[in-house]
Amino acid sequence: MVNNEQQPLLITVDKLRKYYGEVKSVDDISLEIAQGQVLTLVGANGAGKTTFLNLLTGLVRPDRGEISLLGEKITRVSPDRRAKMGIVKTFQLEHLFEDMTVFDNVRTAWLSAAGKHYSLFKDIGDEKEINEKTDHLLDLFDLAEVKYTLVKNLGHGYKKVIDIAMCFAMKPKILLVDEPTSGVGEEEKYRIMNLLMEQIAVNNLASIIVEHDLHLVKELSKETIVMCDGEFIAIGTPEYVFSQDKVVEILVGKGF
Amino acid sequence: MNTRISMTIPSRCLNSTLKTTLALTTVAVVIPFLVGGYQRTLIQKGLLWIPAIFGVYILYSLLRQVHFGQSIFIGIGSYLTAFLAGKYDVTNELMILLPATLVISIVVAYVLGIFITKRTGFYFAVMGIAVTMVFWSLVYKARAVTGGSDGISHIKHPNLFTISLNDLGLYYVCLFVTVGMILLMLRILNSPFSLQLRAIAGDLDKAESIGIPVNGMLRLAFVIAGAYASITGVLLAFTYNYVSPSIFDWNYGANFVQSAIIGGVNSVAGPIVGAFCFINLEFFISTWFANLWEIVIGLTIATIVVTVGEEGVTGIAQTLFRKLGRKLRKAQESSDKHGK
Repeated sequence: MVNNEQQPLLITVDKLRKYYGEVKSVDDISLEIAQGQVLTLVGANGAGKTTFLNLLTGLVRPDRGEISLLGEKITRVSPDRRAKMGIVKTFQLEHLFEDMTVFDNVRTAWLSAAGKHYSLFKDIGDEKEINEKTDHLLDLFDLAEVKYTLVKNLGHGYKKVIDIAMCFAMKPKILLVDEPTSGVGEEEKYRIMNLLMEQIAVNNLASIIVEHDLHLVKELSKETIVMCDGEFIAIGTPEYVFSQDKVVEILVGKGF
Repeated sequence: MNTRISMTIPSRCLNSTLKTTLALTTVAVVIPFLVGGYQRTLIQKGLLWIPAIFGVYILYSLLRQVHFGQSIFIGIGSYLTAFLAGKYDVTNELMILLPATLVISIVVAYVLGIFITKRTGFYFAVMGIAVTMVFWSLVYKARAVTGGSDGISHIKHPNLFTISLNDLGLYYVCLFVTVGMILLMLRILNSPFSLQLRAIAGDLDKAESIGIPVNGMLRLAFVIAGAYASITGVLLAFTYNYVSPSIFDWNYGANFVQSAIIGGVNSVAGPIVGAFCFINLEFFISTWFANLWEIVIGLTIATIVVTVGEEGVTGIAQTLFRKLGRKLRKAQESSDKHGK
């Protein structure tokens, strides 16, 4: 992997494998990601993109292989601990606390990031610092106006942004973004992406973004990975990758 | 302050809850002088059920889990009291018994919690029943220690700071303890802990992905519920002067779930309303139509579930009060107009 910016290594993935019966979902993948490195991951449905991300967050256990974060092996660390260590993922389908307000959703992430899980006797209104941080984050992501709206009453685009905002409360080192624009209108798409990319750049985060819109991929990233049947078949700049015959064949051939 | 609006309980509501609690407490303080001893015991029983029902309430209203196992912890509290203040005559000091019970029930709840909170939903409920049945049969079989089906009677009157309490004294201790536990529960329901519990109930995967230690937090909620029920157990044993294995019957544990349903699980007043509705219903039905109890309670719960669901009797009462208030205000306005 080319690492132009000479930033220190963040994550090392070594021969990671996950089979579901006969299906080779992730097949001996190795990858190194440096701090601040933004990658886009493309591939047809069922190529193993989401499984790969879930292996990184710990939601799925690998059959074999190792994952290290800053030199420390984390293959057997639980998902909630990994989130605390800085590996944070947005969900492809919305996973939010639907019956809570936008404010409470984001506030929960802050509380969790601050480790206040077992704070039983403190009034939540007295958590001034948390509440201020929450307001600040809502401002950053243009969510202030829907602060007290229940999440279930909001549209698709809002939910994607809330999901992303909650990830930033976790102070991530690497942000795994699973199809941030799926099911979102064209205009909304660019708005969400711009917000996301801006925050990633400001915080110097590493990121893997799974994206289906190839135009968006070309605009967004300097490096693209193409995944097919559990393997990385091409890595490089979007121009290079999309000029490869085998990539075109896969992406076009499968009706991508 | 609008940062408070989105709390687990809105602060307006919390203040009114606090006021209501104080008003009801005043009533409960005065009432022994107005009614006979039997009614007082009935009220005392209702008061003591409240903490146990709050245990069910916190697990359902925040986590959406149905907790049938409260009888385990009431049983632990009751039998510990029966052993120490009755059978083995070690101590009848509440200041020793209550903390000792808390410690034991917290340890037991923690260990049971490891298994019971592993699964949620249907399995959580069934596990609660299964574990209760194990306890029941152990207590039933260990005749030499527990007295088997005869139970243990002749539990001494309790002491508080070495002062022996009479029946009225015990009533006030029960009142004081229950009010204290209600206030503590209001605090807990409004804490960062509770918000994260609601998050877990909302979406388990998301909760985990933002670093919430789901298992640990479920277990702590379970421990809180158990600790609450164990206090109920100690004071109930002193109230009845008698314990029997039927406490460990899972039917008995189900009473607290039923009370929570009757009272309503959408409002913190639910467990309080539920306790008194259940106790009174039980008393009147079994006095007048001894054989109809099961039918009546079954129909009551079915009616509530079908008509108002999670709102319960509390919800019905709130709606009625609101309507009454609106009517009164209208009457006021029209009389004002006529006045002019």
